[in-house]
Amino acid sequence: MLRIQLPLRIGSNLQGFSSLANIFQQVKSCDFETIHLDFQNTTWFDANMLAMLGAIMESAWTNDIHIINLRPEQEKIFKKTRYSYFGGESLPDRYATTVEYRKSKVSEVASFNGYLEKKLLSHNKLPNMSALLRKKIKESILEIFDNARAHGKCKFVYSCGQYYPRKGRLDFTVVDIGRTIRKNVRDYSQKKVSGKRALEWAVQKNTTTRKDNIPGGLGLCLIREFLSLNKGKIQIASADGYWYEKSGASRSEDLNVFFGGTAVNLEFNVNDTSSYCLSSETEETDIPF
Amino acid sequence: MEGKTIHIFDVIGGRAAVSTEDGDRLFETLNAFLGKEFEVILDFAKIETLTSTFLNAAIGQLYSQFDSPFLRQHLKVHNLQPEDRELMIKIIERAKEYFKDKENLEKDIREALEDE
Repeated sequence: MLRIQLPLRIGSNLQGFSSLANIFQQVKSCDFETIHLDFQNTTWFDANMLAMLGAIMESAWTNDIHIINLRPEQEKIFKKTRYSYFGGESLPDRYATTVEYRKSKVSEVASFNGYLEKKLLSHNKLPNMSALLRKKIKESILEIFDNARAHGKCKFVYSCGQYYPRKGRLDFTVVDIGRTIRKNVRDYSQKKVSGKRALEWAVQKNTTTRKDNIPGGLGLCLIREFLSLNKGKIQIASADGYWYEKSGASRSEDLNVFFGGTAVNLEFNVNDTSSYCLSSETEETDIPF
Repeated sequence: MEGKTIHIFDVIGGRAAVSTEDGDRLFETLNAFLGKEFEVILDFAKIETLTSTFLNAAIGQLYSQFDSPFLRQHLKVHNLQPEDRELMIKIIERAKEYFKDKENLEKDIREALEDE
């Protein structure tokens, strides 16, 4: 039997991603074993990070994994998200601070879009955001979802969210266990780059690892532009790299443990009153092809 | 010149134009009519959600087959939401740049990386 002790806190930050990547490393080599994830010391776990824990637990599906010593208040939060470990059992979310955990087939983008509408954007405690802000939030997440399919070459995407009413922040995490960004960049460039360098390269405008006739390299750039205006934040952990950007300032780090997938956390400022509709003087049919 | 209106809602069967697959489907449709030199109206009515991944596949990919003067003459856009016009223009600019000198561009991109 393998017992894995979780740390004091799992937050949406470098330490949180590293801690979960550490679990990935430990369970990855196990087959048909009993594994205990011990939450005895864990006093805080950001609900959105359940997307990464869920993806990791699923990646080790041949094993018998148990969550033990989970504090009652955390178990409540986990159940509010309908986290799959509890068999879909759910508790009412009176303060509406969580966004349901979900495992989505990458082919079912319409269903994922419906989930975002119902479980994220119709959240009854979210402030009255403008239609354009809602649209931008949804489109940003859908870009990440399609990236997981196109670049991660995975079958499923895991997602979960947490809303912080006092901070006016909504954190939403999307995870896949697929080809890492480092793997894609290495294959494309034929250079042995680190995960950190691969991320720095991948988030730049106009860089893409696509080799077909579909131009790429804009999606992440558009999300960065939006989050910069929105005063939000984006974090990516993939392979042995971690990159984040907040208020236009970015930083990259080595993730001290290899994670065999990609986790993206988007943090939106839901109190944002920007308009996001850029004026254009062109006529309706006058698209400059 | 014969004309054809293509309703994106009908091609993708929904209001969310977000996946590369759906974009590819629209590209195939556009490519078929533009290849026969139809004057095509691309109608975005009922489309509520639009991403770069969809537009790269549907519109960006057109530049692998047609040049700007041809598309200006043969393709018109209707009912695109005002807030999506900027996205559409960025996709077009990117596609033009991408196909202008694809091989050298890819080489430049690769050379920006060093072995570690």
